[in-house]
Amino acid sequence: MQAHEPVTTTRFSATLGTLSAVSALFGGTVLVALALMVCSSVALRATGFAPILGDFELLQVGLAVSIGGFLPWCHLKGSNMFIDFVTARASTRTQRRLDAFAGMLVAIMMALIAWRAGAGALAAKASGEVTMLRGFPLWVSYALMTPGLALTSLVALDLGWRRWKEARNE
Amino acid sequence: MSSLQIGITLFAAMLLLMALRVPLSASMFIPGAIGYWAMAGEGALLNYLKGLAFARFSVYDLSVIPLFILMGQFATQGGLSRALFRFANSLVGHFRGGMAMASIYACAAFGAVCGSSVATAATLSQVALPEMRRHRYSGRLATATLAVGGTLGILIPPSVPLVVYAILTEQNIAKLFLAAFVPGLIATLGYCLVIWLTVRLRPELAPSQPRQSFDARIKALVEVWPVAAVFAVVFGGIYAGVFTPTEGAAVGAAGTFFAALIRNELNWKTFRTCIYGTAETAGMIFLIFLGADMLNGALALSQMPTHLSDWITGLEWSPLTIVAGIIALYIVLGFFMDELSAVILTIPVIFPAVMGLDLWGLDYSDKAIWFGILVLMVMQIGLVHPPVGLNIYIINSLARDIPILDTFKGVLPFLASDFLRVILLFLFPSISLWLVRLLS
Repeated sequence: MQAHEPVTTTRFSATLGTLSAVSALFGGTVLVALALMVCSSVALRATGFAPILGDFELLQVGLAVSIGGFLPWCHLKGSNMFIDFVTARASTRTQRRLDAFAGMLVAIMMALIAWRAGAGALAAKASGEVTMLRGFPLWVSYALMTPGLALTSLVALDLGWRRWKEARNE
Repeated sequence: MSSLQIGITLFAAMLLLMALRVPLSASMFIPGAIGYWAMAGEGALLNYLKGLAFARFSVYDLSVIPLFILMGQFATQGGLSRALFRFANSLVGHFRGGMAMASIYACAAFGAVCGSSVATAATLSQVALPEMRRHRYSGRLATATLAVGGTLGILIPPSVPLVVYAILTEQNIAKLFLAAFVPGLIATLGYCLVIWLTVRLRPELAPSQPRQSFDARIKALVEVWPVAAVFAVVFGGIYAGVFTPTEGAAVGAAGTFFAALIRNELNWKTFRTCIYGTAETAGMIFLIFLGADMLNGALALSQMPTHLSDWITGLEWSPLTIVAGIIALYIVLGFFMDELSAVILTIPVIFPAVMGLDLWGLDYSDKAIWFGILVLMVMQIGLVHPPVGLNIYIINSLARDIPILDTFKGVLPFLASDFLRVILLFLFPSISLWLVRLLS
């Protein structure tokens, strides 16, 4: 279950690490802002005022951005859950090779999802889809979610590559 | 290939990838995508993927998950677990094994503001483990107590896995939380009973300590008010109908945020820790969702779920035997994969089949709640049983000097109480349902 921090660090991987941290903090800030927005809306409603217009849909479009931002950090820190007990007795070299393979698969998965989410953003922009109450354009939410997805793919690729090199040095 | 063959192939491919250290999300996604492409063609796959992430990430009800996780993170960084443990310890610490019982009570109380088992186990361990070791508690008892205690984080509402179940089955989150309450209390008492029995048989495992003064208890009580206040506001608000569970989670997150702020525990560094922790836990769940959505999309195309559902309802067994079999199957599945992923993957198939059965004469909504609580119990057991028990690994990473095998052995008597509880809840649906009926 527990991933080891990779031994090797390149300048590229360090940059990806910084970007992932920034992305997570961005997602987290959006989430905290959403929580405070919902709280204010609830407080307004409870005290007899009108709640914030479209708080429901703002939460939805904000949430997608927030979760997208979380994913690179999640994968980088080994929280993209995997099972290690089957291979626990295998040599470290075998384990690192499998990790490299796993990294490649995650990279493919996230690249596919990011590419299609990007296409989704373009499609939403072309069709001019907006949220019901506030008229917030959906493509903005799509577009802000996509960099996190793409970054996750890069992080997985880089981690896999570092595992592969580790396997060679074992 | 028949639909059943396709379904089995996809499932086998998933299990193989999982065994090979591929993250569960990708283990589900890759076979799912390939299967979808093979059955429906490239265009359909690309079109399906276009909305996949956004559709999943922008579900209003799912926002409960990151918000409750955030709430738990602020509670953790705000030192609320320490206050709870001190208070519980001042009350029961003088009994033999009392510090372990205090850990259980503190876990249960922390579970009332935290919906994640791993977070509960980790935060209480940081507080209670050093104390128990200092008082020469056996490492096996201490680590096992915290591993199972952590699961109270998801048994006592709020509960992230229960939210996942509610969303997959389109059930009322607030009702499910109510239903989980009594079983959560039964679990808490069951664990304390196990500790009591254990130290009775082997007193050397846990030395006793002096009783604390009344003043010390009151002082410790004052420290826990933020937990009580946040819990009262969040659940009072949800059940009084003032706000939805999502709004409750937002209020709770803001509540623990301000509690941490008032206790002067929040600065830029701890705030960042909260965000990173939220990113890891929420990211993990949403990644699993992405994988399961893809695989489920492919399975739906193969029509295997319909066939499976027909097959289950057509079985000549009694409905209760079928449900017992499903629960047993989930427990067995827990030996191979993480239970939450297993549930996300299989509930869309299993749930309609179960709802088609006549169980204790319950109506649809009661049946869904009763089954949901059973599924929650199974997920909880999956967190502490070998070999995938996530909580055990968390505790092990915090107490490196205690062999992981020792913790697994220490967990066994607690597991016995877990199984007893599952049987109890299975046989007496009213344990889960009476509070729901009382308040609605």
